[in-house]
Amino acid sequence: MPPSPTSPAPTHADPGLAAPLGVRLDGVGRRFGDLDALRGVSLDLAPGRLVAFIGPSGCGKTTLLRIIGGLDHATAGRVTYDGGPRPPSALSFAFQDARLLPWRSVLRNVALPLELAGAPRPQREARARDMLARVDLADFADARPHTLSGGMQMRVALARALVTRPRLLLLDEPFGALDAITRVDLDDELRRLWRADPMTVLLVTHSISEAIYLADRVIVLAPRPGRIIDDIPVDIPHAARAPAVRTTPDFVQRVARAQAALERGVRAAAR
Amino acid sequence: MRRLLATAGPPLLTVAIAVGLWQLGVTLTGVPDYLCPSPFEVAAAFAERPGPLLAATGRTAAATLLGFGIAALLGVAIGTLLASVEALRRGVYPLTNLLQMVPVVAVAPLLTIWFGYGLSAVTASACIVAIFPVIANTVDGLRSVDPHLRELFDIYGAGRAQRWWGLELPAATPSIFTGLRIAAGLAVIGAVVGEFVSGFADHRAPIGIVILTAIREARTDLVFAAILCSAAVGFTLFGLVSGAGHLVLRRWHPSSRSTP
Repeated sequence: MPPSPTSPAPTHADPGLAAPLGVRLDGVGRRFGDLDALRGVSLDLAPGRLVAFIGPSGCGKTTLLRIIGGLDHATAGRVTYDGGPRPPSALSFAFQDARLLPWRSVLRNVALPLELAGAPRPQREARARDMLARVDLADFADARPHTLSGGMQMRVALARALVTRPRLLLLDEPFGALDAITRVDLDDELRRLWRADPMTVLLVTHSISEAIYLADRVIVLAPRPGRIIDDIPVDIPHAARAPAVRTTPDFVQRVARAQAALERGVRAAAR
Repeated sequence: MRRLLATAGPPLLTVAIAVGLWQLGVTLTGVPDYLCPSPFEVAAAFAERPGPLLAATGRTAAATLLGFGIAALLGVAIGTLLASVEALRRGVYPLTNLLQMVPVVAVAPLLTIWFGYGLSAVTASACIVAIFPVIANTVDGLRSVDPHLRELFDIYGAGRAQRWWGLELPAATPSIFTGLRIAAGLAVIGAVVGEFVSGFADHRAPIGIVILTAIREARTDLVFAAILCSAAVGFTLFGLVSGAGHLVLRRWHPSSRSTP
């Protein structure tokens, strides 16, 4: 097949073949000196699902995400990806701060991961333009990041994370610094992008309501040592999840369960 | 145009007032002109033989520019090396800070032994003083690259060269330009000091030699004119470097953003 201008970089798998990645954690622990940031975390994260991690500060949820992403290492246990080692260039990250390069245009920021993977300029810029259109920022391709609002910068960061068509997307409180309305908009946007492209999404968040609104499954962590204290399935169909779902009994009941688990974890740590 | 006037107007006014006071002071006190000539006499000394004075300025400018250029390239290269190699940064970088305390006036005669008289020694003298701020600011700039952005490059598997061109160099550019602006001013000082010691004293005389000769002849008016010429070299180079920095940084860096 002749390469079309929008065909992906050669180093990235064909989007049709890039199946979502499953992740398995076996007794994962992480010690920082005397501090047990994580202890005995075992989880089977099915491919293609959106899983949220919630917990109070210091419960190790960010550390867990960084270990899964390869930015940190476990001091105990192991992580496998579809039963094997972490496949190169299958992962993308987005963080609480947008982490855009201020000297680059929005377009070239989004194209960065493809550039680092060695994709030729016309291809990577076509893909980046495509991605920007999908987050409704097509008109801002040539703008510098500092001229954008916080919410728009976050959407650029999301576009950059998705431009590689990752099999596993790791989100570390990506909307935590935004105002409530922008945040709900971006939640819906994230769900739309996730449903359009099959991938596994792991989302770390402070917000119970955001976790249950977005995820198929919510893992609640407790602090000192960081560990799993509850694992809440959320079987509300995604098609039914509009902002109004937050007042339905199904939703409210899960919020209450997560809230109770969080409180239990904090009380246990305080003893 | 109005912005230029708003920026350049007040300092120009200050200069005009200062020159006026200078003229007034000289006229009122009757200081002999070999001690302090009036601005009018300085201008006359320049107008008397502008050709040789401008030619001398040109020679000093050439040495300054050459010394500055070498210092810029070599300084960024050395700074990069010091910032990237841990052992060098710990073992060598502290010494470069000490080295710049060595007075260039003391070193200049040595340069004559190594490079002989003329352009090479003068260029070397300019380069020696100009290089240190470039090294220091390059190291600083490279060391203060946001670790979060470094992590981003880690995630997407950037190679050493990609990291340098895509992240470190652009992130350090504001700091490097700060170093270059300081170096621009210092390069002229280094050049004139070098000329005092190793400039040709014949028809190839640069500004430093013009000053020495004029001092021996008690031509204070000519000394002043020559000093102004050498200062003009410094101003011009500083202006060019600042302008270049502004052009490079204006699209993104807070220091160069136009304020609304």
